[in-house]
Amino acid sequence: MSALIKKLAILADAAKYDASCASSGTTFRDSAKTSGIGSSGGMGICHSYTPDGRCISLLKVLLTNFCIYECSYCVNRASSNVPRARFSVDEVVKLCLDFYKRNYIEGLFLSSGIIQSADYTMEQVVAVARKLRIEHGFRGYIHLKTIPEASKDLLAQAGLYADRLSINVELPSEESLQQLAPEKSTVTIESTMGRLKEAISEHKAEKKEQRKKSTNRAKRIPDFSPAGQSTQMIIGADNSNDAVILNKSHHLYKSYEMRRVYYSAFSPIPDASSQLPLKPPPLIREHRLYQADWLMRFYHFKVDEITQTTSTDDGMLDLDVDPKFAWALQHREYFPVDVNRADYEQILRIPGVGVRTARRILQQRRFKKVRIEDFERFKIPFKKIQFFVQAANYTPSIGDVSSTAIKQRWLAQSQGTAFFAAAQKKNQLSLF
Amino acid sequence: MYYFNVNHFREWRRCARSLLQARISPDEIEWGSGNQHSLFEPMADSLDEIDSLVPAGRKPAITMPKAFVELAETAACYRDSKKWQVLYRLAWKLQNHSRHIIHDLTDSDVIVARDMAKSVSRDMHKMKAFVRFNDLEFSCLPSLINAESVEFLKRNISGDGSSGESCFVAWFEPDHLIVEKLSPFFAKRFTGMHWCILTPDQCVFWNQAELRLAPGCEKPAGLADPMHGMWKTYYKSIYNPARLKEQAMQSEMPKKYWKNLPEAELLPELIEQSSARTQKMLENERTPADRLSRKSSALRNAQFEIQRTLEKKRQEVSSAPPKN
Repeated sequence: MSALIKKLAILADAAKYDASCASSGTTFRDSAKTSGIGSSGGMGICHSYTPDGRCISLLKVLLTNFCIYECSYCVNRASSNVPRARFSVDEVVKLCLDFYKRNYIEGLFLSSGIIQSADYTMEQVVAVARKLRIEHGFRGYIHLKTIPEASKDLLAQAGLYADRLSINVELPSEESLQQLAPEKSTVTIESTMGRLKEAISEHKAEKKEQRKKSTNRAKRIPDFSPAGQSTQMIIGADNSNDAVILNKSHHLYKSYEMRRVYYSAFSPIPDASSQLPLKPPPLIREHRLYQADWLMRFYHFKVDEITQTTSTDDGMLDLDVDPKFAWALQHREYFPVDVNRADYEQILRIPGVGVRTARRILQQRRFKKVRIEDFERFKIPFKKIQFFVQAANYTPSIGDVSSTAIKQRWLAQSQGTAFFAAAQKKNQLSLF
Repeated sequence: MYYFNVNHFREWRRCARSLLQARISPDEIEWGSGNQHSLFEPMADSLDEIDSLVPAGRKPAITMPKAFVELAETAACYRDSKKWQVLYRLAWKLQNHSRHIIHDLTDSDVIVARDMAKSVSRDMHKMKAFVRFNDLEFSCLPSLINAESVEFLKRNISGDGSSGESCFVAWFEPDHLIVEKLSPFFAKRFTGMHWCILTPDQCVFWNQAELRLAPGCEKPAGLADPMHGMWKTYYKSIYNPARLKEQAMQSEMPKKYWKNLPEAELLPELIEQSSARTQKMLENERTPADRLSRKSSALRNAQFEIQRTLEKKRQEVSSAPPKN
């Protein structure tokens, strides 16, 4: 037992820099009428939270942290001084089931360092998933990290057992990859993403077709990575700016139907490579990138609209205000938006108004005009929207209040709020 | 004034239907839960009196929008019994004024009912997340739960419970009355295990075939699990001290849950050590990328050295005069 605890400590530690944790969006399944365990579908469940504010949803471990690759940003790169360990297939299977039975987790997120060859490693990863599904009837969530260099056949198998597959794009440009991850290449990574995309949509189409004909046969067509694919980019290890990063994400969403692009600010690790910058990027930069990503996916912002808000000198997002607020400050001609007349898309552009509030505004309009005090009920501070909305009893006196003045006022009044304090602290951290 | 003592959505619905048919306005009813008694008289404990107000053939059909039924079913789990009054007022308005009110987010009863339902949903989500099962042998059960429940659990095990079969036992303290509503979720997820969830309000048991509900109980002593060490090791190792964000953690995992989470006892220590651990990582000497090749060439040289020494010894041995 104690040897296994040591291995777990090493192989969980080795896996923690991958930001992905989602367990949502897969098919609805449960174990009713089986003798197995596990269910999934709908909203993911976060079973615990560590003091970094991140959730524990899946058992996130590496099969092994031995690795023949030398990616400078990675704690497990060949030259790293970290202790190494390797789980057997059976050990991971048992650990996953033991944790699941106690309701610690939603399932497994398995990744691995590359040992011997890409195919050899991928085979082991797939073996874990196969064993869980076939031998143990496990119906919980499985996310497999896919090795881009692995064979087509192994990829095809992985998709049959996994809810989600992911390949990390790692860095936004080919030059950065060559410099920091010499064994990887954009071509290989993206062609594998392309193959996954095809397989996922083919299976979906086939299932849909069968469902039209008869319900029974549709069930026999296996799912292929039903929660799609995702990827991760390391932030701050190379000198790519936010505009480059967001354009890359846009490309990934468009070309490969990514469900998620995760951004992971490279973190201090016990044994860092001399190739890496001395200072990790401020965490607030990662946060702004996620906000920008959200704007592209849920707020119908075009990538250019967001990158235009970046500073002309360095192509970076404003760290002081969120990108939607930054856009609004640049496009004063668009405002005020009359919340009693505007359509959904227009309402979504108002700073502070999220998808849920936008829908609530539309719903309320069917009964009563929206008044300015209603925003209190929507939990949106008046200070944030004051120059951007028009309501039944409110027209902003925009006069000649400049965008700079609005921004200053907002920053002055949000000082002392928890979030701003945290953001400032993060900025300070980077000044070490 | 009528008084109704209602403990479950099913009971409330039964009462509400009769009351709406008899056109009894919300102001004439007082709702309560449990054994509390009203100061108002007279009380109508049974519905017969109400039902007799309208002749059988002349009762109007009562239909409610689906959105209301769903909202009401969730809000009915809210701990405070004011919920019954709010729901009845809402049902009254839907029946007598407009069926669209349910979508009016400015209606005071809609606001309250939605707030209650939201609070219940959040509690349900947290219960799904934070219940922790402990793997216990059947022989331990009699000290934790009553004999009847033990018998129920034993129904579907291969042996008689004396030879190491296990039952997974959890203790949880929900904010609202959600155990019954959530029990199918747990049964469909942990189908192939025997388990029970004990709470102060209600307990639920699963024997791999049936669910059984029982009254609540006190927190049992001696819940422990051999996997606690593994789980805490995982929790400790997956945490990145360079990203400490205590507030974000607490907003998702408020302190009130900590006492029943085995991993929570690690929190003070992990938080306290964070900045020192991060500082150390930042100050560590950085490894040159060619460490491996340098290391391997050093190894190669060492091997050559050993071989040379061996060769030399061998030659010395072979050139030495034979011993007689």
